[in-house]
Parts: sequence; C-alpha cells; structure tokens
Amino acid sequence: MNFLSPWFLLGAALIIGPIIAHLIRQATKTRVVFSATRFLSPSPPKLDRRNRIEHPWLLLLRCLIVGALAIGFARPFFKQQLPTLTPPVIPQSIVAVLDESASMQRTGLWDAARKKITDLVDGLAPADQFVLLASDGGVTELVSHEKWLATPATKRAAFVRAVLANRQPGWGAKNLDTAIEMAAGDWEQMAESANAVTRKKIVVVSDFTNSARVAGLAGFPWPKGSEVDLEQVNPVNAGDAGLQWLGWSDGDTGPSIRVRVVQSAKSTATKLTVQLRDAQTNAAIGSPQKLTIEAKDSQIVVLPVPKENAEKPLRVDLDGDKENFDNTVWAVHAAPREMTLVYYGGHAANDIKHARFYLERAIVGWKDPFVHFVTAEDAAKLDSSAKPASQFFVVAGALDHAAQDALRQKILAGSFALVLLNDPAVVDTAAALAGETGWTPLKPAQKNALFGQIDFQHPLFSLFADPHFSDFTHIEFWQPQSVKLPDKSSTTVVAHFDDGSPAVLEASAGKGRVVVWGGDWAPVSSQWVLSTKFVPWLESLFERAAGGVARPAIAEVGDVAKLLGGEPAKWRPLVASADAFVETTPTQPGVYQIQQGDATRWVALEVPAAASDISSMTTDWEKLGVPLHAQALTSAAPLAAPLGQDQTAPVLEAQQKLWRWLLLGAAILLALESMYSLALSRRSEHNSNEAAA
Amino acid sequence: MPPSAALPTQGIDPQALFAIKDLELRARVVVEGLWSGLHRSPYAGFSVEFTEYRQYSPGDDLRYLDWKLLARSDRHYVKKFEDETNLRCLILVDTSRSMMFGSKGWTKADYARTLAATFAYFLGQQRDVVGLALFDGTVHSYLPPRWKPGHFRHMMALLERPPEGRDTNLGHALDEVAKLCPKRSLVLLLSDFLAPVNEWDQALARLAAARHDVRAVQILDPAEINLEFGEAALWEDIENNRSLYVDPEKARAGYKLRFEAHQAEVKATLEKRGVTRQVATTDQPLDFVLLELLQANQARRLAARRRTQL
Repeated sequence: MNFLSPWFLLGAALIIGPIIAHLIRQATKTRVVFSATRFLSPSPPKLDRRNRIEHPWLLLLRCLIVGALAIGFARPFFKQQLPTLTPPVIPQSIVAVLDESASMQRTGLWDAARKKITDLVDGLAPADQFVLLASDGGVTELVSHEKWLATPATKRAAFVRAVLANRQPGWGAKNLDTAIEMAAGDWEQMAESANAVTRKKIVVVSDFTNSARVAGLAGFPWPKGSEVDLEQVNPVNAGDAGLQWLGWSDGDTGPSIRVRVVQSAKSTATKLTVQLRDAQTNAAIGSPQKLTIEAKDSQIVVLPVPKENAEKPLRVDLDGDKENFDNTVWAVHAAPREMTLVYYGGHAANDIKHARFYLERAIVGWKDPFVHFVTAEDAAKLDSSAKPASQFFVVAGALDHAAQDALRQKILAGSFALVLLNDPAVVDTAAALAGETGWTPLKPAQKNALFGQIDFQHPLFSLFADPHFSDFTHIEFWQPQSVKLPDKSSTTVVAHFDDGSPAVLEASAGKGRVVVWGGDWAPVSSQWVLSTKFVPWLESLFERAAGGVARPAIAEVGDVAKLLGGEPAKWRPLVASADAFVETTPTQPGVYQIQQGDATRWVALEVPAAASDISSMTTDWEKLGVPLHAQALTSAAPLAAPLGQDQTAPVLEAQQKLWRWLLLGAAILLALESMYSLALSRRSEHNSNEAAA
Repeated sequence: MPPSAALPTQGIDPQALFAIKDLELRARVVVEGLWSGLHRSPYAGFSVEFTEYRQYSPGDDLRYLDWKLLARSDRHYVKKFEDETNLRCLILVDTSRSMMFGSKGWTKADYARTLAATFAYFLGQQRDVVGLALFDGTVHSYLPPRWKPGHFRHMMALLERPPEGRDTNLGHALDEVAKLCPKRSLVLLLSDFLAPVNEWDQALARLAAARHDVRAVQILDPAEINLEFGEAALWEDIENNRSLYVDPEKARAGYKLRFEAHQAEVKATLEKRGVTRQVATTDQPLDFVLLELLQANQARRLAARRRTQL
C-alpha cells in the first residue's frame, strides 16, 4: 500500500493517547457516606499493577479509530498499472489580445508582437479555439470565433498571418483593461459553445509600458479557471523622447504654442531640436529651438507664432529622436466667437436706472463669445450680412411696427432677443416678436414679488439646477410686470412669480428665440442685476445664442467626442480636397476640418500624451486579481505524455478512493465505541449505587 | 419467673413496620401488638401499681377501701398505690446528621422517631403527659409535656417534619432541655451517642442533678457496630464531610476496637450519671425495644422500692 500524503500517518502516533489514558488508574470515584468515620483509620490503597490496561476492548476500538483516520487522511492507494489508454487531449480556448496602441509604433515592437501571435497560432491543435482582438483605445475583433471555426484547421495559421499582415499599430491609448475584459467575455462565449472541457487562457501581447490602463480590472469577476498569460515584446531602442501638447498662450506680441518635451528613462538622445512648421506646407516658421534634455527629464518649450500664421494649421516637430511616433504635435487656433449685443431702448450709457448700464458692464471680459455692445441706432450702420447667431437683441422699450417686423425677421433667421417688460406697453412688442397675439399685461398681486417656481430643467436656468445654486428666494422684484398668455400660446413659462403669474418666458420663433423677462433689471425695479446669479445667467444665455458651449479645437486621438459636442460631423484631412468630407472618424493624428451643420472649423488630433511614457509597467497584476499564468503557453501535447511516478499516484488514489472506506470504518468504530462506553458507564454507575446501598 | 421470659419471642419486623408511612399508625401498631403480647403475659403493668395495704383511718377516700377484704375479714384496709399521679415524660430525639445514616433501608432517625412516637402513644394511652424536644446542635423544636386534645397529633407532626441535618451538639442540647423543663420529669433521650463523651458528660450530669429521671436509648445501625458494610472507597463522614480512603475489610478490626472502647466509655459515663442505658439497633423489632424500656422501668422501680425498704 502506498500513500499520497504519507505525513498524515504521523497522526497515528496519537494512539498513544488512549493507551496512556487506559493505563492510568482513575482515582476511585465511589463514595460511601458513613456516620462514624472517626472510629475508622484510613486504609492504604490497593496496589494494582500499573501495566494493567483498563477496558482493553474499548482501548482497541479507540486505537482503531485513530489509526483509520490517520490512514484515511494519508490517502492510501494500491500500486497498479494504469490503463494504457492515451490520455485525452484537452482542447484549448485562447483569446489573444494584440496591443495596437501608439507606443507599439516603436521600432521592432510590431514585428515581435505579430510573431508572438503567429507562434501561438502555430502551436494550436485542430480542436483548439482561438479569438484575436486588437486593442487601440477601443477593441477590434480581428479573428472571430466563428471565423476560426469556419476556417479549415490546416489553413488557420495562414489566415491569421494574412489578417496580421494588413495590420499596423494605431495611435490610440493603451486601454488594456477594456480589451482584457472583452477577451474574458469572448472566452466565456467560447466556453459555453465548447462541448468538452477546455483549457482557457487569455494571452496579452504588448510592450506593457507604464501608460497602459489596467485599473479597470480591479474587482473584475474572473470566471473560474481563467488564466491570463502576459507576453511582453521589447523594442529595438530602449529610449524615446516625445512631444506633448500643452496649449495656446496669448501674449502681447501674439499667440504662442506651449509644448512639453519628455525624455524616457533609458533615452540616450539628449540633443534635440523643436521646430514650428506650417502644417500644410511643412515650411518652417521661425528658427528651431535646440534643447538638451537628460534622460527621465522634461522641459517646457514656448514657440511664438507670428500673427500672420496664427489662423493657419500648424505642427511642431521634434528632431533628434529615433522613435518618431510621438515627435509631432498639431495645432490649430480656434478664433473666439464674436457677438454683437444690440440694445433697443434709447437709454443713456451712464443711466443707472436702466438695464443698459448693467449689460455693458456684465459683458466685459468675456472671451467666448466675445460680445460687442451697440445701440439700435448704431446697429443700422453695421454689416447687414453678419450671421444671425452673432447678433443678440435686448429690447428694453416698446418698438414700433416697422422695428418689430425687422427684428422679427432677424429672430426668425436665428438670432436671440431678450425683451424686458419694463412697461405694460412692451408686452405687445414681446408678443409681436414671439409671433403671437393676445398677450395682455398682468400686474402681479404683490409689489415685491419673488420667484415662486423655476423650471431648472429648462436651458435658461439649468445652470442653477444644482441645489447649491438654486436659491432664488432672496431676489426681490419691486416693479414686476407679467403677462397673461392666451390659451393656445406656445410660449413656455420658465419661471413664475410667487403669485403664479409668468415671470420669465421663452418663445421659439423660426431658428431664433425670444426670452421675455417680467420687469426691468435696474436696481430700482429689482435686485436681479445685483445678484451673483445675473452675470452667469447672462453669459449662459449668450453662449446658447452663439451656438452652445465653446468646444475645444485640439483633442487626443480616440477622444474626438469632446470636439464634436454630441453633434454629428464630417471630417476632411488637411491635405484632401475641399469637398472631401467623410463621416468616418479619423484615427490618425493630424489637422482636420470638421463640418457640423453649416459651420466648418479646423481641429487637431494629437498622439495620446501618455503614449510617451514608455517606462516599464509597475502595476502589480496579482493585486488587481488577475489570474496570471506564469508558464509559457504550450499546446495540449504534454498532457498526452506518459505520466511519471509522481503523476500516477494522484490518479490511482483518485480512482481507488480508499479513504472513503477508511472514514466509513472509523465512523462505525466510533459508534461501537460510544455504545460500549455507555454500557461501561451504566455498569459502573450501577455498581456504585449498589455499593452505596 | 423473670419478666423477660414472658416476652414475645417474635417482634414486629422493622422492614414491615417502616413500610407504613404514617408515623402515628406505626406507633399504634407497635403499642397494640405489645398490648396483645402483654395480655398473655403475667406482667402486671407499670404506671399505677398496687404496693401495700394500710389500715383505714377516717378521712381516707372510700374509693380505695378494699371491700372484698372487708367482707372476708371484716377489717378496713385501704389499698395503697404507688405513682398515683400521672407520669410527666419528655422525649428527646436526636435529629442531627449522624442520625441520617442507615444501612437497612431506613435511618437511625426514622427508627428514633418511630420509637419516640410509640412511646408517646403508649404513655398517652395511660393519660400520662408527654412532651417532645427535637435537637441537633440546639433544641430546634420543643413541645412541653401536657395533656390536651390534639397534643399527640402535634407531636406526630413535629416528628414527621424532615430534619434539617445539622451537626450534633448533645451537650448544648441537654443544657437547653434543663432550662426548658425545670419540673422533674422522666427524660427519655434517643440518640446514637457517637459524639465524644466529654462533649456531653457535664451537661448530662447537670440534667441528672436537676432530679430528672433520665433514660437513654442509644440507637445504632448494625453497620456501625460490626462494619459489615460498604466497599473499598472514599468514605465520607456524614457530619463533617471529611473523606478518607477506607477498605472495610482491613479497617474492621481497628474500628471495632475503637467503637467498643467508645461504647464502654458511654456506658460508664451514663452509669456514673445514674442514667439507664439501652442499646437499640435499627434491625431490632421496635416492640422489643419498647418492652425492654418498660421492663427497665419496672426494675428501676423495684430497685428504688428496695432502697426505700432498706
């Protein structure tokens, strides 16, 4: 008999316990009560032979129990020849994740990564399943499970090679966590579709730089039996210098570009040059800046842009570095949106009793949109071809019909108008601009009205939707003016006075909008212009009139959503023809022209700044809970090899399962021991009772 | 013919007697059995007995005039009786923990209570006044001797009360009895007298000196006499819980020697104090014990009369 865990046999030494217990003579427990013990003298105890075992049968049972348990835990088995059947070949289900992020553009990495994948595929057996995913910010399925199964086993390796031959590393971020999670999902699908038990593995082929994002794997519910194999590829050049976009800075002499030059830890090229160029012609602008940056260091470089080139697409090149993937940044200068505030009211500029005084001061310092203030009289002299969205009308007095019609046309074309009801007569003007009739002046019940109900879902007040800012109860209106809307009015009441009468209204008119404010803004009429909410509210209204919140012109590849603001756009590369707009989102860095609606503008896409961080990954994968597989991936062939002496033992033991019988025997012996002990105990009790009687 | 020759040869089996749970019934069974035995015996009773004739003198109660003698001899004689007055008796019963021992299925305390009840019933039949004192360390229950309806039942209730089981202090109890019962009485002391003699000798002397007629019945279990009992084990004293390992086979000889020495000392002490001693083992029929007690009384009276005549 052999044992799988022979050290458990040491437990059999515990047999000594019962033996000692049975050898020790228990002190007599029998007690006799007597009335005249003072006439008694103590007797010496009986001299029993110490080696006499008490209840030998009970001792035997106890020893057998201990022995059976010890042998059972040692997992005994009888040596015999295993059946000479060929061990079953366990098929593998492998999902390979190929890193295609920007840092994989470094010299030598891509070929090494492709070789890893092809070697892996070459080692797979016909029954193995395989899925290939590419990670480049997002995840692309290069070889699907269905495609793999549909391809004949002999042609699968060639098929994968053909797929890889057309691939190049992209410019996206290294979001490995997303790719691995998706691989786990694919792997589960494969496991569900597989009939037999398979070895399941995720193989990640990457350079594993510090820019890799894996934090998303923390707490990931790994399926049982998951294994993740990390296959690292190493570049030819250990070092790299990169350019990172920081932004525009405006100075007195004109705008300038700020970039950061970063050196990796193992970089040897310390003499670098930064040159500003015209993105279209590649012509150098200004003289190059020479830098000396040591390894693991970085430096900010400011590149002045001449005013004549400020509106052109630009690029900044870094020379002197062997790895070029991160040596260029692209720049476009987004001009601020300019708007004209046309004031109808005829009030003097320094008249503090009217809204003009406060409007002119509120718009000072706004950059986007940049607002010019003009009176209605001066507005006639302006260019009539100005875009409707660039004009904002404030009406602080009743207009005649001609002016109403003219203004109405501009509103219909897309302008915004704000009407202040500083007089009941203005109500008709407001109704005319909104394109409605039947508006009647309505005086609120209280002279010092307050805002009662405000619709914070409406864009006019959504800025204050947060409970921290939604308190309007301290703003009083001493000369409120409301309107009574007809039943069929399409005008939206955005805010009510506390008596329920409309306070702020918004009407849609063509492409434009008319906002009606119930009362004047001057401090003699209300506290509104003195409140902290006035300027933010006005700026948000102007932003809305200008087309929404200002959108950046520069973003990283894969993060174009913030350029678009949720609206669909068409793209045109810098060098393409003027009408070559396509809907496909570009995946390469560069300058593009995007078209949203009728508007077009230049935007720049940059290589992700993190891609320049090529130092080795410091993340502890095991702390993230990733079930790493340390051994190199191999085929199922070794499983079919004959088992050695050490390998046959568990198999034989598992087949024979002698420990079950031993545990059963121990349980039966335990029951017998309990019954025997009980009988002995009762007998002893009976004897002592008799003795006491 | 000595009085003992007339005793019944078979008494009431104690086992059968103690099967009766009611103490009063138990006492009645003993006394009735004794009466039936006495009926066949020439024994003439004890309490009110004829002693002599004396010549009638004017003033004597005519109830005691012997009319038959007057008819026969034409002489006036008056019967003279001893102990014309009712007997005043106080029964002292030891209820200490040592009395809780019993190897026969009943304890010495059971035996003592039954004997006390029997004696009280017997005396009650003769309209003697009987009192009862139960003691262990002190006299914890006391009924003074008197004759009234319900007194006997009251005594039975006291005797049936389960003992609290304190240690014996016979000397202290006797001193208390002497204070509680100043009138001269017959004091029947039922105890095992296992306590050292010096603990109660002086108190007994004081009680006897108070002109009480003290009679002791030493109630012992047969196992206490011969140690034919138990096994080799830890023997625990019933009073002080002291334990010692005793093998009765080995300890028997020494025990007997010490016990007999104690008995001799008890006997000598009681005799010295003028106390009649009677040993009763718990396997002894109770009617025998009662009869023996009565005979001892008779003998004591005869001895006293002899002493008077001398």
